[in-house]
Amino acid sequence: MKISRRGFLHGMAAAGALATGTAKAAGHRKFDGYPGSFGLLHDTTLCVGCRSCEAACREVNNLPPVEVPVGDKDIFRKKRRTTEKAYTVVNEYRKATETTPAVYRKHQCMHCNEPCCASVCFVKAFTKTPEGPVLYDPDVCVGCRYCVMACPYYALAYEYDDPVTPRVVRCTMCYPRIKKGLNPGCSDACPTGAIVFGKRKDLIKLARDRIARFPDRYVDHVFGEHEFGGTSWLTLAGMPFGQLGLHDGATHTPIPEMATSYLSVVPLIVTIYPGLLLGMYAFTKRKEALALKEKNKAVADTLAKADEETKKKLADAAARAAKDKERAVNQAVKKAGAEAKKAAEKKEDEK
Amino acid sequence: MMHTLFDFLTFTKGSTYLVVAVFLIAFIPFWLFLTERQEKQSTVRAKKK
Amino acid sequence: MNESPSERTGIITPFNVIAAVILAVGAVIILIRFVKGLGATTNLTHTNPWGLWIGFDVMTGVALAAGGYVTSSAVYLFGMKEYKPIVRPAILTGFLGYFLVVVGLIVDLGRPWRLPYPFVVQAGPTSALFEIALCVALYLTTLFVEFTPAAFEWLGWKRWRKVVVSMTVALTIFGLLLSTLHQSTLGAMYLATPTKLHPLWHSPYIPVHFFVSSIAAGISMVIFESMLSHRVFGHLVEISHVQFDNITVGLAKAGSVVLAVYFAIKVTGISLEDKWHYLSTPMGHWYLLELLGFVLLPCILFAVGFREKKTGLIRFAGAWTVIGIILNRLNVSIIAFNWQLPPDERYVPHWMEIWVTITIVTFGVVVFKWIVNRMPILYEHPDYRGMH
Repeated sequence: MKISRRGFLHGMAAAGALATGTAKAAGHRKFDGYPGSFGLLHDTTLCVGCRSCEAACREVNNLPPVEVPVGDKDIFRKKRRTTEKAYTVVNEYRKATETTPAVYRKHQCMHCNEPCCASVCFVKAFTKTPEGPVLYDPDVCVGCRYCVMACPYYALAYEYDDPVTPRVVRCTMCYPRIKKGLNPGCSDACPTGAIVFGKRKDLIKLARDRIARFPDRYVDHVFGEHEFGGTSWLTLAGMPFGQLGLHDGATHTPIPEMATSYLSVVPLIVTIYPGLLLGMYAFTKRKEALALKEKNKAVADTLAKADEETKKKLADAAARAAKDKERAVNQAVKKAGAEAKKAAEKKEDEK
Repeated sequence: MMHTLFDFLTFTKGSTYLVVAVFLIAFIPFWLFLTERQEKQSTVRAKKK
Repeated sequence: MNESPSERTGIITPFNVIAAVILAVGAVIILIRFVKGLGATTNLTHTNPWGLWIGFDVMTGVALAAGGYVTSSAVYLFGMKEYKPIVRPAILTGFLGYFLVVVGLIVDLGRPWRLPYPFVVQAGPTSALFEIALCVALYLTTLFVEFTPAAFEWLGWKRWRKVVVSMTVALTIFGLLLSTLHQSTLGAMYLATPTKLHPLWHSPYIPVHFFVSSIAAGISMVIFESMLSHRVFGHLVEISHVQFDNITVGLAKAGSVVLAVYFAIKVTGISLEDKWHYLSTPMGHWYLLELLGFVLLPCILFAVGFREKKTGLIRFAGAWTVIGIILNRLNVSIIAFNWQLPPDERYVPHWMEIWVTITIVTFGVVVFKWIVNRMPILYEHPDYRGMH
């Protein structure tokens, strides 16, 4: 019995390994996303840390204005992240030196081609639109915050201080504006052209073009083209992306593919377990029935054997008794004969 | 037309959940069909005894 | 049999008073949470949206409630009838455990009244959490049904009891199926965070890690809970000390095997992804503490305890394994998660989060005590003796 449990465990381990290793989400198929979708190109070599984008974003989204006014460089002492009031933040990643300017990067939701947030949401609150932005539907959100927990870019925020209608909050790529043919607020506000809005395909060409024209200015890589399946936001930089708070050397595999790989085992377990476990149960019952049968047979045999032995004993006893009786009868006859003889002799003597 | 992996996964996993639910439910009458004769036989045997 | 100790000594016992205080303060904190929002009673942040309530109440709670499916499968599917006396306490622990998991989840969710949404409004079938929600809901129902025979015996509802008992095998199979799924998928949730969970804990095998360790958790919790029950409710226990010790010794053998398998799977995982070099880092040392101190060590203790028939050692190993499971689940969810962030961005639970967790556990213990004192959990109801 212990073997069956152990074997069962080993089987499970093997099944899990098999499934996670070989079950690719869509087999051989490639998904190219929506053609003609929009994106934004952020050229960090052009960013001067003015934070006009932050201010514009607040205005466009009817958020309270920035707490620390634009132009105050003290804010860069500590790295900031997006919050429920700040859909985007600019951070300083290298201080200015005598010869080189400071390096800044604007951070916000990357509007991934294969969004991790969408794949982990158990009420499908996220949608990747054909235009490019990833949208969030607060009308179905249950507030589990798996999306906030999973986003590799730490882009999502949550309204922890709202007890009744807390929402997940993030950059929307100004979807309403894009639908009207306008540009996102941040790209319009950027004074240096560090943010360019356009078709993603065109932006990639533009980025490659810049790298080709100024090879000493840029790291030869367009970040966001392929990382984790690619994002709508593309970034150019003059220093390694790992030092800008981005994932250097990230895989091209979309996170949804990694996250859902194991789920292909679920139907396997559901279809195998009932038959397998009922089979084990039947084996157990069969073993018990056989054991019971053998036990009964052993008891019956013993009884039968005892029966025969008893019969034999009775027969022997009967035979012995018969012999004893015969002997007794013979003795009695002999005795009677002897007595009769004695009585006859006595009578003769008396005559 | 499925443009994204996410669309594909939503469709395939959604339909697969339904398929296995049907299978699980259908397994019950299937198993009962398989074993009801045995059950009958064993109770008859027990009754005979 | 049905007279509870409190009816003899009154309702004011030290345990009851302490429990009442814990529950009262906890209720107030939960009220504040719902009136002012999660921010008022937790240290959750945008960077750390999951804290103690998910890491302990949900993830650890599910693992420690695994005794229900492990023991019922052993007895009803694999024919190990000698363990029947511990099935009912294990099912009760499981049922209360899962119920408390749902309570903890309701306190943590942003909009808990929307919990049925994935099933009735819009489903997100790509999410591991969808599968977990579905399986936990179904399994909680299964455990509840598996628990009802004890309640029906107490109530004298013979017909209902008969109906449920006839479904035992089907319920056990369904329970094992659901448990395999959701125990493993709780680990699979972290496949979505390859950049945030430390490489020693993150693995494509993480669902297998979680499932196998849940078996060890179930076995160890049964050893631990039965030890406590026999001490506190000894007057209700029917089986002899010898029989109980034999059960404990048998469980040790199973526990040792499961922990050995779990250890092997973890080491294999490290080898397959060439992660040996992580072991010499500070987090690596912490990982080795968990793996060697709380997996390999209790495995050996269980093995020795089984061979030498030392029930004291076995019970210690059981408690030690429970601590190890708690440590593993907290490592995955809180300690090794976001491990590379600077200290000021790391999560530490708010005292209110800790208090609510203790409240939930206390509530479970109180209900467990109430049920065990009244219903045939630790003993057989005289009207139904030998009828299971």
